[in-house]
Amino acid sequence: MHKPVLLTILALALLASCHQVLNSSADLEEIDVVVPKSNNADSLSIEAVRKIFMGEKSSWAGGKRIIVLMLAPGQPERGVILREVFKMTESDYTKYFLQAAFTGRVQAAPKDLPSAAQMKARLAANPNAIGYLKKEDVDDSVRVLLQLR
Amino acid sequence: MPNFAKDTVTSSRSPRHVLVYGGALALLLVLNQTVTASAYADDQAHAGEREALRRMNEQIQELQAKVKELEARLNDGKGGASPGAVESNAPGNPLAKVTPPVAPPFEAQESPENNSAPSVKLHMFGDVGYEATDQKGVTNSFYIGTLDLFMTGALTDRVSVLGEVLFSPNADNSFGVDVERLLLQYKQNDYFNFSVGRYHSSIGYYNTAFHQGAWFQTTVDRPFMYAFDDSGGFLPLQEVGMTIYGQIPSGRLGLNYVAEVGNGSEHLFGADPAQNFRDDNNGKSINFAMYARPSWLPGLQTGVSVYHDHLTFLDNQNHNELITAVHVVYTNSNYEFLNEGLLVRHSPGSNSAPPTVFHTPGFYTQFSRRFGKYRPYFRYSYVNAGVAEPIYGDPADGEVVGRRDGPSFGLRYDMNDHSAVKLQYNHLARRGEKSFNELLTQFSFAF
Repeated sequence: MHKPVLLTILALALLASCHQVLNSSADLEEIDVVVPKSNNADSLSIEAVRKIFMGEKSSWAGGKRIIVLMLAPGQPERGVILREVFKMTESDYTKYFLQAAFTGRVQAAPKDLPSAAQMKARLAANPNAIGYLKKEDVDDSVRVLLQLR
Repeated sequence: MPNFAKDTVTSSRSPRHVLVYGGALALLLVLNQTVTASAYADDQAHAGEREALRRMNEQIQELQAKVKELEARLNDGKGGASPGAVESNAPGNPLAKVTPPVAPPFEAQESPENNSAPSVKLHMFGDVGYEATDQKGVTNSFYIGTLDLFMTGALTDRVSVLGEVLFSPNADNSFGVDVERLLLQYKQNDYFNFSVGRYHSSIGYYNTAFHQGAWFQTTVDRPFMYAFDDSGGFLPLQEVGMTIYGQIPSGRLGLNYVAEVGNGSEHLFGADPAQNFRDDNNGKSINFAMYARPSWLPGLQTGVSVYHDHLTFLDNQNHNELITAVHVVYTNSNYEFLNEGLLVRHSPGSNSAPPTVFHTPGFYTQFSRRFGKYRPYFRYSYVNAGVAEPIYGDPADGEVVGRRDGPSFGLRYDMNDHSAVKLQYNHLARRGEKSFNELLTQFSFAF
């Protein structure tokens, strides 16, 4: 009679643990890699996005130069991009672009913008730009090329 | 000593114990959930505040942008009214009339072809340190490494200039100024880029990965085979000529190519190896490199390069120089594993009497692992030029290369994202000479 009680308690504990794990996953930001609505680029794989953000792919299919936009350090969306796309820490990112400029591979690091509003404004102003936004900040002015968690 | 496990299983009061322990477990569980929920609620509250602050910040920035736009329109209105200015001068709330907050002309800022005056981006690199050695005849000393001014500027959307000027101390205590790199670059697309000027040759990996920036490399100094000429180096690491480089469509293999044609190296003692002024023969050095950066393993790079040149000496003796280098490197945030090998082949030209061929092998392996701001590292370097080697063994042509090998151990500490302190121990063995030890310290920076 008491064995089922013990089993029930253990099952509850297990459920609680699962709940914690699921909750922590849900806390992650969902980030969309976006381009302006006027950009006709197809959806991109994570590898293609990595190449673009790291400066290894510098032009769209039509030959226009890609302008990569980043949110400034400290923004949570940037953390997701660094982790999922660059697979780097903030320090690695700084070193990478300093070294890439030094070797002549890129002219400079991507432009840092202070807010999602600025990101959207820049994207709206330049059809060759690519950036990223939180899912809730995405609106009709942009097209989503890749979803990241 | 109580045996709780046994008690729990064998005691006649075990059902009660089950209840007690079960109750305790449930209580702990509830407590855990409560604390978690409380912390989560706090987090939620803080997250809410942060979000509110972020939104407020965005609104402030939008307002500031609008104010700037209004000011710009008012200023424009003084010189010549634009449609926007006319609109904003209309009666009513001026802010309401400016509601379409058209973003500033960012494209003009980002696309150099629209700029009337190209801008210059300037970076500065440098290093200083102290070195102690038990090598006979060499004193312990503070030293100034190099002060490196690196600049790039975009002339148009596709054309840019890269310049690098070094200030470094000479043996007579004066400072020398060296135009290390000066390149006019043209970028057609990812597959075809062209540059002309003075460059660092793409022999192997190290030379173009780290160039002159001590801060970029993990170690204090370079492996023997990639030492610069003023540090006893023997490879043609700097050239004047042209380079074509780009990617090769190869999917996930990530193939790249580099083709270089240059003046080659001067092999006269005391002369700058890079023939900056004029080539001493009509034969040009040719280097072709190919490497892969597979996308399925970011951080891996493997490649091969083949360099050929005709060397001409004062006695009009010509030699063919063929340098083949291979590399396999893997780097990520925590690990660095560099491996390179080369073989230099010198053979006499057609007008030379003894048709003897000399081979000089060299390699190095380097491994490091980051632990926070600390990065311990190990490297082993090896170069072996024969005693009778016509170019590397003749003191009239420069420092004798000979055989050198030895390990290096060190520790790098990154003070921040732009400066580092390194401590390194070297043990160097050389053919025909007594081996010696070195202790090097270095402070390097980049910004």
